Amino acid sequence: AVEGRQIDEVVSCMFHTILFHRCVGKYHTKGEDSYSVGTLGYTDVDCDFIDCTYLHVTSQELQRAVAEKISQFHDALRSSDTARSGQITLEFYQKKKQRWVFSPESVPWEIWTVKIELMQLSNENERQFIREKLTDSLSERIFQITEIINRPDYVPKPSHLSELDLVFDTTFVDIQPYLFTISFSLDGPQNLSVGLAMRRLIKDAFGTSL
Amino acid sequence: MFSYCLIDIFMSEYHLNNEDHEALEKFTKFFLVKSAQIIIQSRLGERKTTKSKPICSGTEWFHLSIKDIPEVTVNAKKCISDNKLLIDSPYVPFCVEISLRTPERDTMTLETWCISFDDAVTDQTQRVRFNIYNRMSTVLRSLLCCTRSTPTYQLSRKQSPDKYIICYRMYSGEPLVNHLGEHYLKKTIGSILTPIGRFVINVAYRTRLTISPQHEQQSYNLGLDIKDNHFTSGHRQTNFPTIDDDGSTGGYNDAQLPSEQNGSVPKSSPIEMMKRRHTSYDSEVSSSHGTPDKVYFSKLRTAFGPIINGTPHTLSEPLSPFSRNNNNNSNNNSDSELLMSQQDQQRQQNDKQMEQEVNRSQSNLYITGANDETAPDDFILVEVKPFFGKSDSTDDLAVFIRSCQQPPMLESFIIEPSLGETINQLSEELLVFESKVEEFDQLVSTLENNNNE
Repeated sequence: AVEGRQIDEVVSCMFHTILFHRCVGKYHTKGEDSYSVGTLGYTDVDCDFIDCTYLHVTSQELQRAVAEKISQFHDALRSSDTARSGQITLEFYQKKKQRWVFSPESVPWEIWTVKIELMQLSNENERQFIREKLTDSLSERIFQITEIINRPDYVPKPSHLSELDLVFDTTFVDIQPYLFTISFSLDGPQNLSVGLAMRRLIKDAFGTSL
Repeated sequence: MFSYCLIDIFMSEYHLNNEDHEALEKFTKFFLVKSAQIIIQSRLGERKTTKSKPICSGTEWFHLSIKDIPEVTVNAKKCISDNKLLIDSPYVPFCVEISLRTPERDTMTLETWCISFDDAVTDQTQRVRFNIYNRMSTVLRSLLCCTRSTPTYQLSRKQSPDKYIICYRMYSGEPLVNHLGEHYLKKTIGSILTPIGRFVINVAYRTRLTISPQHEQQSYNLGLDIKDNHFTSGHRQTNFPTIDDDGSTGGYNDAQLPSEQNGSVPKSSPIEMMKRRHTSYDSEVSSSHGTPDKVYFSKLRTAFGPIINGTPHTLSEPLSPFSRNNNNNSNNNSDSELLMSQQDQQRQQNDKQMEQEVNRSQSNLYITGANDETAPDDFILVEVKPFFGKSDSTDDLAVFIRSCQQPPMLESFIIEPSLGETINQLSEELLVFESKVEEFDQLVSTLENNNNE
C-alpha cells in the first residue's frame, strides 16, 4: 500500500533492480561465431518520497522506456474513479520461430508482478510512519529479488549469434536487455474473455509475484 | 577484449584441469577485489554513476563498469595474498567490515560482508570460462543492489567529519559478528556453484543503535544510539581480530554464517588504508575518481588533543577511515598538506610555549591541553611573523603580539559567584552608595557649576 506520489519510485526501484540483472552488455559480432560483450554501467537514484536509493543500468533508452510505462500505470491508477489498486507486470519472454509465414511466438519465461494499493493518509505522522515502513519493505523486496534471481532457474540462451534477437532486445544502442514488456491492469470490474482468462491462468502458473 | 566462441566442443570434466583451475583462481581474485570495491565505494557517501560501454576496452571485468579505487585494490590484493587462495583448503573467508566512527573516536561496527567458499556443494556442469564467469557477474550486480538496501547506506550518505564517518577494514578469516549488537540480521546476497565448491556472499548488519549516557549530546546530533554496554568486554571494539582472555573471540549467535568459533582468529594483517604522516588521525583515502583525498580528521577537536592511553582506539590501531565529506573533495590535497605542516609547527610551538610558561611569571597566556575556557592554539596555528622582528616565534615581539591577540580571561569570568553571593554583594554596594549620597550630590553640583562657567 502506497501513496499516489510513491507509485513511480516503488515500481521503478523494483523493476530497475530486476532489469539490472536481466541485462547484458552490447554484443558485437566478429565473424560468424565470435563476439565481444560490452560493459554495463550503473547509476544510483535517490528517491524523493521514500528513504531509498536504487540503481539502474546507465541507459537513457531503457530508463525512458520503463519510465513511460510506469507513468501510464500511475496516471491510470490515480485517475480511476473506481479502482483503488492495480498491478503492473514486467515480463521477460523469448521468441520462438514458427513454421512458414507465421510470426515468431512470444513465450514468457519470467514474470514479475507488483501489486499496488493506493492509500490516502490524513496527517503527517501517518505519512512518516508509512514512509518508514515502505522503506523497510522495499529493502526487503530488493533482497528477495536478488535471492530469486540467483536461483538456478531457466534463463534462455541463444543457440546462435544470428538468433540473438529471439532472446535479447537488440534495439538498444549501448546495452542488451533480455526481451521484456511491461503491462498493467487495474482492479475492479472487468470483462473477462476466455482467452484472457486462460492467458492469466498460464501467467499465474509461471509468474513470480512480489 | 574478452571474446570467445559459442560453439565449445570441449566439454568440462568432472574435475578441474589445470587450465580451468588457473582461470578459476584468476576469476576468484578479481571477484574478491571487485566485491571489496563495490562494498567500500557504496559507503563513500555519494551517488555513483558509471557509463555503459557498447565496446569494452578489455580492462573491465565481469562486463561491469566498476571504477577501482587504487588503494582498495592494493589492500584487497595484499589481504588476499597473505593467505591461501579462497578456493584452496582451508577456504579462509574474505571479509569487509564497515564501521562508524565519531569525532570522539568511538567506533561501532555496522556490518560485515563475507565471501566464503566451501566444497559441500558442487556442480560439475558449470564451465569456468562461461557459466561461472557470468554467475560472478550476476552476483556482483546483486551485491551492487544490496549494498544500497542496508541501513548503513543511508547512514553513509549522511556522514560528515563533524558528526561521524564510515570506515572499513578488510581481513581474511571468519567474519566477526559479535560486535554487531543484538538482533543483527543476516542476508545472503548470492551463491555461485563451481565444479569444486560454492562461493557464497553474506552480509550481517546491525539493526539497533543505542547510546551510552556519556555520549547523549553527540547522539542527539548524530541521531544514533549506542548501547550502554557496547564497549564493554562482551562487545569489544577491536579493529582487528584479537583473542580474548579465555582464548575465544566471543560467542557467535548464529551458525548459519560461516562463523565457526575456532578459539583463535587468524591474525590477518590489518589493512592500513592511509599513510600516517602525522600522529593524529589524519587519513588519506581515495575518492571514486582515483585521486587521493584526505579526510579532515584534523578538523576534529580531539585530533589536536593529547593521545589518551587505554582507549581502544590508539594510534597503533589500523583503523582505515576512508570516506569523507563531499564538500572537501576539490581542495583536500593542497589544504591538508598545509594543515599537516601547520600541525607540526603547532606541536613545536606548544613545546616551546610550555617551556616559556615555566620560565615566565605571567604564564596564563598559553593554555594547552583540554582547557575549554581559552583555546589559543585551538585549531590552526598561523605562525606570527612580526615586522622588524625575528621570524622565530619565541622573539619578544612575537610573544607580545600573541599575548595581545589572546588576552587571558578576566577573573570575573573565571570565578563566578553564586546568585546568593551576587545579591549580597549588590545589597552591600547599595548600602555604601546610600550612605554616600551627599558626596555624589556635591560631585554632580560641581560638575554643573563647571559647565555653567
